[in-house]
Amino acid sequence: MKTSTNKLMALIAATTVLAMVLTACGGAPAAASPSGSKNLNISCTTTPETMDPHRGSGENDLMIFVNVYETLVRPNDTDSGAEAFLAKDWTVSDDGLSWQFNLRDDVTFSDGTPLTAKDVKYSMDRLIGLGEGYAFIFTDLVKETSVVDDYTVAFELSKPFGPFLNALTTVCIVNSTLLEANTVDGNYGENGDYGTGFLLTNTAGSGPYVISEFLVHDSINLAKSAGYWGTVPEAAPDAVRVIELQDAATTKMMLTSGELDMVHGHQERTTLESLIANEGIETGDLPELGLNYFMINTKKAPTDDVHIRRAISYATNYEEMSKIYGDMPEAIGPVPTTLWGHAAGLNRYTYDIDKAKAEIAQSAYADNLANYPLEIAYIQGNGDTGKLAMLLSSDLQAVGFTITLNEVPWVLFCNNEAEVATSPNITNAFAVTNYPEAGSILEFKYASWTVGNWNQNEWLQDEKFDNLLNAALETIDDQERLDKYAELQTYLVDEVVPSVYTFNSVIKPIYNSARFDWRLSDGNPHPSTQYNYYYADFRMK
Amino acid sequence: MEMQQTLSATTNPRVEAFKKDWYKFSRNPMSLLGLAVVILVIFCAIFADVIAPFPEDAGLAVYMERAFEGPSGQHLAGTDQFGRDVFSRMLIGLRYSLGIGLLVLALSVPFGVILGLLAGYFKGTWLDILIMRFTEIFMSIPPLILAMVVCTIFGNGYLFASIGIAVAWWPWYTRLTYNMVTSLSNELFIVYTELSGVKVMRIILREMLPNITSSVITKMSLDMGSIIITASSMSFVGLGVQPPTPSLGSMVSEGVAYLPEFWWLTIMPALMVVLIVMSFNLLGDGLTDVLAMEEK
Amino acid sequence: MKILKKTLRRVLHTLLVLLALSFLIFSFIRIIPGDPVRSSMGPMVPEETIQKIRSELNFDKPLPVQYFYWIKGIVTAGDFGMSLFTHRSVGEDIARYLPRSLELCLYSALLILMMGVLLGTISAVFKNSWIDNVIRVFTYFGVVTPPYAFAIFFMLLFSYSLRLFPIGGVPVMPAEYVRTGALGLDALLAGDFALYGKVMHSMFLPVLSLSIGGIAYQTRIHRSAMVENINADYIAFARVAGVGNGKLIFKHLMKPSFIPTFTVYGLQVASLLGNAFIIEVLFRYQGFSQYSLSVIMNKDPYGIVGVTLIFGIIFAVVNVLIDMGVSVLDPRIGLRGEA
Repeated sequence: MKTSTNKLMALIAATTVLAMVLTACGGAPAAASPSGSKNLNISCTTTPETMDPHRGSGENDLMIFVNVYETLVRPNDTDSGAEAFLAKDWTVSDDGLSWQFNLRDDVTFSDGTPLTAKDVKYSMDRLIGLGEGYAFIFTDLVKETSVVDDYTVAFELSKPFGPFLNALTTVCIVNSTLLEANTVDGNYGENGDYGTGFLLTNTAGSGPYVISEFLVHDSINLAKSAGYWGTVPEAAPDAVRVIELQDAATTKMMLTSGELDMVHGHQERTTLESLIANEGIETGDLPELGLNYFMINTKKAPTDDVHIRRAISYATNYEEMSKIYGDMPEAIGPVPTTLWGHAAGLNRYTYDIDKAKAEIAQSAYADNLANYPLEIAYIQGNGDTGKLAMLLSSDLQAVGFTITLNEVPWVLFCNNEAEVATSPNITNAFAVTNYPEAGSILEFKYASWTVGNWNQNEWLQDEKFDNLLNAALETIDDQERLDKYAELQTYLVDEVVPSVYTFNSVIKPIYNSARFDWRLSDGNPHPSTQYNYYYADFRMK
Repeated sequence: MEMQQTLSATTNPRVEAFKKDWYKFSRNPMSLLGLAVVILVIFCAIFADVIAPFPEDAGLAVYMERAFEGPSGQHLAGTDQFGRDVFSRMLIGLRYSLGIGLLVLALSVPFGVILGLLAGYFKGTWLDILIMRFTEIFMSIPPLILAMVVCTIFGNGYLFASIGIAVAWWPWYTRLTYNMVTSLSNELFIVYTELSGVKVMRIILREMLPNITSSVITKMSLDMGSIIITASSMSFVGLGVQPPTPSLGSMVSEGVAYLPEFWWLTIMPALMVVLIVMSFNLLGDGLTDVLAMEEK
Repeated sequence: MKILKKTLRRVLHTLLVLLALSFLIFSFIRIIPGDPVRSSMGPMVPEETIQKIRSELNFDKPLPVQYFYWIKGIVTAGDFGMSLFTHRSVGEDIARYLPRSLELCLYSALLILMMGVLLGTISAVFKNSWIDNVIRVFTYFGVVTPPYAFAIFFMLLFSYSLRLFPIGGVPVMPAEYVRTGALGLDALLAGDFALYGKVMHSMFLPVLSLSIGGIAYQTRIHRSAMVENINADYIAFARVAGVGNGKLIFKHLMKPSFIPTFTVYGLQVASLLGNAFIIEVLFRYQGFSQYSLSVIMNKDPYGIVGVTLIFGIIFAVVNVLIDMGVSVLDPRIGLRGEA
């Protein structure tokens, strides 16, 4: 009895191992996507945490959302200005408070339901009701959304808001009929759970793709939407798989073996170089509407002294930092150079140790600098920002600062940013605009009402800045608004010096040119990064 | 055996016992090798600053112009992404690895042994039940996971990583001591001492503790390796010594991004881990053999 | 009957230990510095929204009440609470990731047992020969080398240089195949042997890296158990009595040697899941260990409690199984009921 069990066990075990060895040796390292297949495999350094378009925010989320959901207006591909999309045209009242949009009448959601004004109203209400994602742009702004008729919708604003059109590019329109039918009890009063439960695993959009499978921090699978109202070219991929992948070694291997067609996101220079050495593997520049910068705490010693902040700006090795990320273009001031509203002719800081020392000598801390250690923090697992922090630390130490370099986990980082005292002196981050206009990134980074969030380590709380910013945002006329943005930028760079702007962020996607053509290979990149990943534009080979 | 004992009856018995053990230990060349390497490793760790050709590379040093140089006469294990000397960083990293090992043992062994002694001596009482159940709770989670949980809850850094591992490690010493004490309790000399009215504490400290010391020391030597592996696995995911200070585990994990071109960034520190762990294991095995012979 | 009773008592006892453990971790989680709810949300989320999520997760209630709700959720609905990291129910996450890892560990466990016994036996039978020495050197390196070092070595050798195996990731599972969550098993259940082959192909290096240490240790234990038995009187007797070599090895030597082998093996298997985490990270095998790592590093409260509880349960289950196994192998040893 026992012997037979043993024998059986041994037999099972032997077969398993044999099977493993055989399949392991016999299976050629087959590429996951043989050429000719119209499936696209992409990796990103981070994938969205949610597939609910009103809860997500940021470029990684939008990269997926633009394929599944559509918006009233979208950024055009020349300067990111808003162009008609679901809305055919629109009017704005003279006081800038009432906006009315006429919708296309031929749009349907993926389940065939026509997209009408009530879906737009539902979407705006839901976004504000949930309070997540891009809600902060609209919460205090949109007083009321009303359905004028099936294909006309009106927004009543509480104050004039120049960038309203650009801001609307972030509001995805969802299928209200479908969501209402799938609403259960929840936190949002009469709106139940606002369909949040349903959208954890389903999509309710009108875009050319639907999400077929979503695994948080793992992978997202998109499939062509069967009932898309517009036309998707035959050559567009049938299915797209986006995986989350940070490890450079794996990235290299998967791209060269054909398991991946493209790698999106910042890569370390050595990775980039070793990959493009391969036949058919190419890269190019996708300018991001964002930049990399060191946020300096302006309310904590010794960085509360503007001379110290200038010294830090002079002690930054811009060239080497840009090299770490594979040659990024120089940043000029707080607004990315490719973003609408960037001011020309701003002053720049250069890497100059002598000037840095001279600034320190002028500061209030000249005699007792050693008593004020600088805490430089970077976020754990945030790409190579740790290396930038390391480089800066090394130079700052050389000019006489005492440095504490801290790697901080994300949760703790967020917590520390809630108060001045626990916010570090310096931290590195990438900032990407929320909607394609300078006002967005300036508000997000420096306005007094954004302190206490991880996007502002500066604790600027500068009244002059706030006033200038509000005046700019309330200006409806584009040219006037541009002038006011320019004034803001000059003020920041010349007088406040709240941050060190290291480089403009350019994504260098690495892709297998034998597999597909897209905006980058056509030499026509879209200024809003996420629209380069509008998969209907891809042409598989 | 008896011959030896009669011959040396005149000398100090403790010295004599040690001589005997040393004789047994030294007969195994592998144990001797282990001991030699352990001594060498400890020596390197203590004098890392002096031995390391570029001791400042363990701090905030950046030399971009000489990044990614392969192993050479000047840089024995090459340079890393910041142009820092990998060999120097390994030596300093070695110090932190050993330090964590010692710190964990210093925290977990006394705690674990004391609990084990108490539970074992009061076997069958509520104290025994309380301690051993408590021990079991901590034993049911893989040490690495438990240490990571502790580290993320209470904070990151060298000290917290050590505390985290110690929290996961002490139960094994409690278990070991407990088992030894319960078997010892039945031995006649303990029973006699007890009958003669000696205080409980005294029995535990004077009679029981010496009897289990050698086993505990052997286990410590063997555990040193496992602790170093655990600590390096933790620093692999960023828990433990904070950059720029090197630790062997974080050097390996940082280097993985540069494989396969710059292999020395991973292979060298990984080999260092293997070397240390192996030397402690050889030493531990040697001690185990001595102990096993004594028991027979 | 007696075995059943003892097993039952042990299971009950284990449950109590796990309950205590979960309460301990639960209390710790509450004192985590940093608000995991806030950091799990996007930027500029108003306080009311965060408060809503907090109350949804019972974070605003006193600890015992929160704990009670949590236990109630598990008992009544198998609900382990919501993960702030994945925004899904922790139970759902565990159900998704655990089978994958269990499959990985299962193959690893089989490999360890087979190779350990095989190499141990060879080593013992040919004691002090060259083959014994080779195996012993291997066991030494196997025991002292951290699993991630093996993983990196195998990657360099088999993936970069020889290009025999994929460096990471697993094949895409068609949605209609997904039944158990375990990749290979699902492929087999769907009758797709080509896919099963692919799964095995991608699992080979992770399994191997995970197993090497265990194989080495197992070989050592099995070898010493067998060597001890070879010297035992009854073997000498059997030999004198003219029992053939093959029979001697397999019948008289193997069986008694299995007892220490089996006990150590149990501990090894119980620790596989915990060891798998760096392997899963390195090979991008999205399983339970990688999930555990993510929730721990992201301070996801219910995630952490959930995964530690699962680790505890698995450890306990394996231990009970081992005890039963040992008592089947050797009727003289009763179940290690207490202590």
